Amino acid sequence: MSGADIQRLVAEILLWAGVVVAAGSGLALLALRHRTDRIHALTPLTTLAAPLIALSLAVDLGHQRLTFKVLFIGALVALTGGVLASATGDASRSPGNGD
Amino acid sequence: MNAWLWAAAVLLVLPVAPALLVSSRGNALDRLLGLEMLSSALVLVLLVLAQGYARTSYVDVALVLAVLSFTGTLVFTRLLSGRR
Repeated sequence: MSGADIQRLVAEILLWAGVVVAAGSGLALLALRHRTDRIHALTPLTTLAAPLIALSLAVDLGHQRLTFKVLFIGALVALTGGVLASATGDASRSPGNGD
Repeated sequence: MNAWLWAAAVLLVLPVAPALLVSSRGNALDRLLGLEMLSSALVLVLLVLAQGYARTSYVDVALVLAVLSFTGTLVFTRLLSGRR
């Protein structure tokens, strides 16, 4: 098995791990009815699937300028996802927005 | 069809379709949750499609979407929480 084969294998494992997490997150959003549970269903997509998919792209691309941009996007989605989930939870506690 | 395009297809069917469904019904905060998932999932779809079609310009679209969806959702949550 050559270095390029191993690189592609690692990239595909990371990619499909990210896709499985994202798919589970989407199904959980549909299955769960309570708003707080739905917020928890959203966060795996942003904090886990996005970095996994960005990492898989980075492994496949190798060392080039685009790799840093892709990793930046993965980190941005991961960091802002937590902030957005927190802000949405805060908004749902406001009067008039109850379940 | 390579693995990247298959992954994009799965991402379009599983997180994007449920997010569209949730964002089209229920009250405003439930729809906002659907919108949050939709935008995050579309960023991932654009990244994977960029690799699948070897078009690096899609990565720029994903970056713009990630930044705009963050600020847009924050504005929506502020409006819905009733604070000005």
